[in-house]
Amino acid sequence: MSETSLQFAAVPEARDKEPSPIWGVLTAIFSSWQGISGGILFGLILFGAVFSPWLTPYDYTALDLISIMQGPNGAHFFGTDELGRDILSRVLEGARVSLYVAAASVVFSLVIGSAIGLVAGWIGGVFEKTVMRLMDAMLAFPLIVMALAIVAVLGPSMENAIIAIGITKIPHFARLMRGEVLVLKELDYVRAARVLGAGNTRILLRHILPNSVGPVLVYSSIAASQAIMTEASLSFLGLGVQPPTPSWGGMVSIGMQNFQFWWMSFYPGLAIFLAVLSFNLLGDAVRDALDARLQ
Amino acid sequence: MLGRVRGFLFQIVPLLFFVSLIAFILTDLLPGDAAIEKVGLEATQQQLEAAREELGLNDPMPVRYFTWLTNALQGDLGKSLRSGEPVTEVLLRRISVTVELAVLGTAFAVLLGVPAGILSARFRAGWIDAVINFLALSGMAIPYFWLGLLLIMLFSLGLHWVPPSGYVSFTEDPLQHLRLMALPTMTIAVAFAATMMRQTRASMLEVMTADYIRTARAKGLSERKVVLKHGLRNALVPVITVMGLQLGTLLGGAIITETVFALPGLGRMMVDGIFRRDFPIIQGALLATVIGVVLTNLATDALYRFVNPRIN
Repeated sequence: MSETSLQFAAVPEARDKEPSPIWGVLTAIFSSWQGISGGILFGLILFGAVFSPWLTPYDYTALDLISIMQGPNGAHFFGTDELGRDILSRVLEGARVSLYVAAASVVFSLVIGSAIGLVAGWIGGVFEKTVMRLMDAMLAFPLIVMALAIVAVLGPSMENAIIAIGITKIPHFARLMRGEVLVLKELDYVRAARVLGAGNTRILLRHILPNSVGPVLVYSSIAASQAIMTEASLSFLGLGVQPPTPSWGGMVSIGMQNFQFWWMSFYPGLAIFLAVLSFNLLGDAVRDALDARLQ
Repeated sequence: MLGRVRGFLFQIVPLLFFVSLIAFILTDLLPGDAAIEKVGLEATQQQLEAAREELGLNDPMPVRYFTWLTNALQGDLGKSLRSGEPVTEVLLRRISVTVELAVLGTAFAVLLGVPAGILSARFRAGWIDAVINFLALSGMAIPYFWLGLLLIMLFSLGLHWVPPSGYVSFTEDPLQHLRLMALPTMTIAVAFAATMMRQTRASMLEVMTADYIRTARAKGLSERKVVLKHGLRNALVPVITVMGLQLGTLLGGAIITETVFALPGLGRMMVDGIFRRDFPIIQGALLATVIGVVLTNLATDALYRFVNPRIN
């Protein structure tokens, strides 16, 4: 995926900073087909996640040993698994798990990564060089490889998957934020603020941070789609979310041991696909909308 | 030239230092005791102490890192705690499978992605563009393991064209080898092809607005010649760069693909190492992966500068 394309986008060109009404950006996002389809898809997944207990008559942990491995039918739209649990209920509950892991890990890497990039870009010098080299070194590890190694250290669990995925995305946010700072700190209003005697903290928080929100938000959407994919992969390998908590990746993994019962792996896999697709579509739409506004 | 070599060294040496440090620290932090893993739980205290001493576990961490690095630089990555086999030998055997998967996958992705990108850019904003774009977005969103599973269901269980999974070396049975590599290649290539398509499309669109394209058209060249000869040649430079920079993603995909299809590659080596708590194996796989990525990135960078001398 586009984890490396960031290297080209790390230092954005200087641009006019005019006040951008959020309404205009939102209209632009949802007037593209990517924005509309991504928004609808994401809305459906979010709806399913929020209202999962009320959408099906079954509890996602309820065993029903009389009706194990049933194919999709009128009572169980997505069929049942090896313990007779309703797969639709489990896929919906899996949406909660997946979105929670994605949100938590993105916030984790956004906060820590942005802080690192902000400080490194602002201070500059040897400190910046050293920190950014370390970030480059982390970037050299493929996402899933780094996440696997961290989970192996911390032990497999949902919380540790969040931390592992969060850590792997820190360098991306750090590079992005550093690039923003390097551009912004040369702008007149930042210099003016400094001349007027504003302290470092004030300039960073009041002038630099608010003006770099756009690119960081676009990237958050990409990071969320990667987080969902990485969590699913970790859980598929048995090193992410642990049973009995349902996770899409884990469900596919169990379904894989029962090839002939295709529905066991098909529907959770489809859910991962649609969730990642929705974030990619939204990311594209937001990027195009911001590009159009910033030109 | 000397300046360039020096700049290159300034770039790569600190990077390799940090990379090896991260790989070492991560595996050093792994829970459990390598000495117990080596001698087993029934070992006496003396055996345990001897194993600790032998593995150097009693030294402080900087010393252990330095010892490990010195040995690694000489090609000695320790021995597997399970089989006792030198990690370097395991690596050499495993890497060939992953390299083959990566090369086949890249070739497949290029054959699929580059023509699709050209078509998409050529018929920009039409229905062909929309369809190709949608396919690319979908390709980037399909989890490797799910795609692999769907391919197995379709081509093995449904059509019986190829066996579902397993591995036979090329020298043993070339035909069976290729039959077994077909589905993994497709699995690992789809997301990559999507990336290649998007990059080709973007850089084609950019190149096609250049002055020399207008000149070529004004000369009266056929559109086909303008696109393929003048457009594509220049558009391919950034595409090749992205190709090189995607090796990391490809190796990440290899972990999942090798697991689904039971291929004895580098990715599978790492996952197995984690489950068997075989620390030197994890360390070796981690180091080989990341050094592969770093060297490919540097080679791509050098190639880019070579093709495009204006950058420096």
